[in-house]
Amino acid sequence: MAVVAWQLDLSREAVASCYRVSNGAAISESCRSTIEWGNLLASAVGILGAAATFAPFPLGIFLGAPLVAREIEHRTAPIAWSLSLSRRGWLAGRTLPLLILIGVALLAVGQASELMLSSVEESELGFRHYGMSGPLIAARGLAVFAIGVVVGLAVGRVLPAILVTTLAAVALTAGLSIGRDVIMRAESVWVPMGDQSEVVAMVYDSGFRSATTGEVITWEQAYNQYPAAFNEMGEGAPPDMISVWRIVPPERFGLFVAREAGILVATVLAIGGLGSVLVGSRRPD
Amino acid sequence: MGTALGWARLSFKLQRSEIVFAALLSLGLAAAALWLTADMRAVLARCGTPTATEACNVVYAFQTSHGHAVQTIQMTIGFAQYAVPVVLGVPILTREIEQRTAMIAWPLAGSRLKWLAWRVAPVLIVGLAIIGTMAFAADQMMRAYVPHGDIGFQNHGGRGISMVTRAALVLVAAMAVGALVGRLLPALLISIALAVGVSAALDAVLPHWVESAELPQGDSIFAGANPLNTGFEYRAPDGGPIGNEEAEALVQAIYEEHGPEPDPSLLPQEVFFGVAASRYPEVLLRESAALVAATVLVGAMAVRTVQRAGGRSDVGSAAAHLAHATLGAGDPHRRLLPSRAGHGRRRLAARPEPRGGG
Repeated sequence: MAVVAWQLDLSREAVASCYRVSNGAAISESCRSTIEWGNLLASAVGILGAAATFAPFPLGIFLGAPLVAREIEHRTAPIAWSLSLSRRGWLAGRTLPLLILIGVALLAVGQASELMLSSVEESELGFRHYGMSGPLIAARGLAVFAIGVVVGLAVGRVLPAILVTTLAAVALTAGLSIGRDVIMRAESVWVPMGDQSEVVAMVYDSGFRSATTGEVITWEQAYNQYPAAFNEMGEGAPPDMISVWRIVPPERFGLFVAREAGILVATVLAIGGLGSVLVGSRRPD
Repeated sequence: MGTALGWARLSFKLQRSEIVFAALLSLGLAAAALWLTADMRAVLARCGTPTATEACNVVYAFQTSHGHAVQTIQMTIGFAQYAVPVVLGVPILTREIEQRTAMIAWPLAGSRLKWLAWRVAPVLIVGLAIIGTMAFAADQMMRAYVPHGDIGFQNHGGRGISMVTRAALVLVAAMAVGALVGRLLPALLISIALAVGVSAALDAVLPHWVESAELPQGDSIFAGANPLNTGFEYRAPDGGPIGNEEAEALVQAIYEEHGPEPDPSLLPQEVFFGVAASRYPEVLLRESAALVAATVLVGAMAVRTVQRAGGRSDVGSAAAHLAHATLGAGDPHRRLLPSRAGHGRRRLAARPEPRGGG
C-alpha cells in the first residue's frame, strides 16, 4: 500500500507533465502508458483499501481461535499446564507475543492504508473511509484475536472455535456499526449546506435556517409554507433562509475513531480477564 | 438400514458442531429469503385492486422498497454457499487423519471405499439438502424481485441449480483437500482459497459456455430483459462500428446542430453483445454438466488418495503410506508421525500379515 501511494504520487506528476507537454495536441505513446499505469494504480487502491478493512478479521480468527483450542483438542494443554508454574502464565506466554505481533502488523497496515487513501483523496480522510485506515484496523484485529483465544479455550476444538469466533466477530462489527450510527445520528448538528460536502458521509436531514431567528424548518415544511419560492424541479429557497443539512461535523471523526478503538481495547482487556478465569478453572480432560 | 442409520449417527456425532452451524446458517437464510418472497408476492397480489402499488407497473418493481434487504440476503447467501460446503467438507477426512482414528477405522471397516462412502454420504446428503433449500429460497426470492419478465442470468450462481452444483464441487474438493493435507487448519485455509478460485473461474468461464451474439433490442437490458452482457459498441447511422470517443463527438455535433430533440436515426446506435436470457437453460445445462463431471473427478481423486494411503492394514504402515501419499517424497514416518509411526512399525513388524482389509 505504501508502494502504491508512492507510485501514485510519481504517476500523478508524470501525467500532469504529459498534459503540459502535449498542450492540447495528441499525447505520445509513452504518456498513454503512463496514464494507463496511473489508472491501474488507482484501481488497486480500491482493492487494497478493501483488503486493509477486511484483514483484521481473518487474521484474528485464524490466529486466535486455534491457538489454545488446538492444544486442548490434541491434549497437549493438560501436559503443558502440569509442567508450567501457572496456567495464567502459560496462557500469557502463548498469547502475548502473537498479540503484540498482530497489533504492530495491523498498525503498520493502518498507517500504509492511510497513506495510500490520502494520496488519492483531495480532502482529508473522514467518515467516508471509516475503518479503512488508522488504529481502528489494529484495534479490530486485537479484539477478534482475543475473542478467538477465549472461544478456543472455552470450546476446546479448532473448527467449532473458528466458526463461533467468526459469528462473534460479525456480531461485534454489526453491533459497533449500529451503535456508531445511533451516536452519529444523536450528535448530528445543522450546518450550512455545501460546507465540507466532500467529507460528509451521511446526511440525516435537510432543511432551511432563518438568517434572522436561526430557526430551522425541514424541506417539506418550507415547501408547504413557501410554495412560490420553489421551481418545478423543487429547487429554490424561502426568502431570508439558507439551506442547511444535519450532519456530524467532519472534525469529530477523530473522536469517533478514538471512542471505538477505546471500546475495542476495553473488550480485549475484559476478554483477557475472562480468559484468565477460564484457564484457571478448566478441568484437564 | 440399521448400518446406514449407524453411520449417519456416527457422522452427526463426529461433525455435530459443523452440521448444526451449516444448518442454522442455511436454513436461517432460506427462511429470510422466503419471508421476503412472500412479502413481495403479497404486494403483487394486490395488483388490479384499489390498493395496488407502483410495483405493479414498474420493471424494477421492488428496487426501492425491498432492494436493500434483498441485496443483503443475497450477499449473505453468496457467502454461505461456499462457507457451508467448506465447513462440512474439510473435517470429514482431515479430523480422522489428524487424530489418527482413520488408521484404526480402515482395518476395521474391511474396505476403505466402503468406509469412505459411509463416512461421506451422510454429510453430502445433509449438506446438499440444506444448500438445496437455500438455493430454492434464493431462486424464489429473485423471481419475486424481478416479477415482470424472465430472470435470465440475474444472480446466476447465487440461486437454484447453479448454486447446488457449485456447492457440491466445493464440498467434495474440500474433502479431497482434507484427505491430501491431513491437517485441519491448513486444509481449511486451502479450501477457502479454492472456493474463491472456483467462484472466480466459473464467473470468468460463464460467457464462454455458448457463443455470444448481438442482442436484439427486445433482449437488451434496456427492454427489461436479463441477458449476460459480454460487450458493447456504438454504430454510426450507416451501420458501421465507431469508437466511443467518435460516437460522443457525433452525439455532441448532432445536438448542437438539431437542438435538444434530434431525429433518433441520426444518432449513433448502442449495440449490446451477449447471451440472451432465453438461452439461460442451455448455459445452465452445460455449466452443470461440467461441474458434475469436475465433482466426480475430484471425488475420484479423494477415493484414490484414501485407497493408496497404505498397502497393509496395520496401524504403522497405514500411517506411513498415508504420509507418503499425502506429503510426497522423503521418509514418510518422519514427516507425518515423527515418533509413533516408527515405533508402531517396529512393534508390528513381528506380527503376521493380517488377512483382509485393503
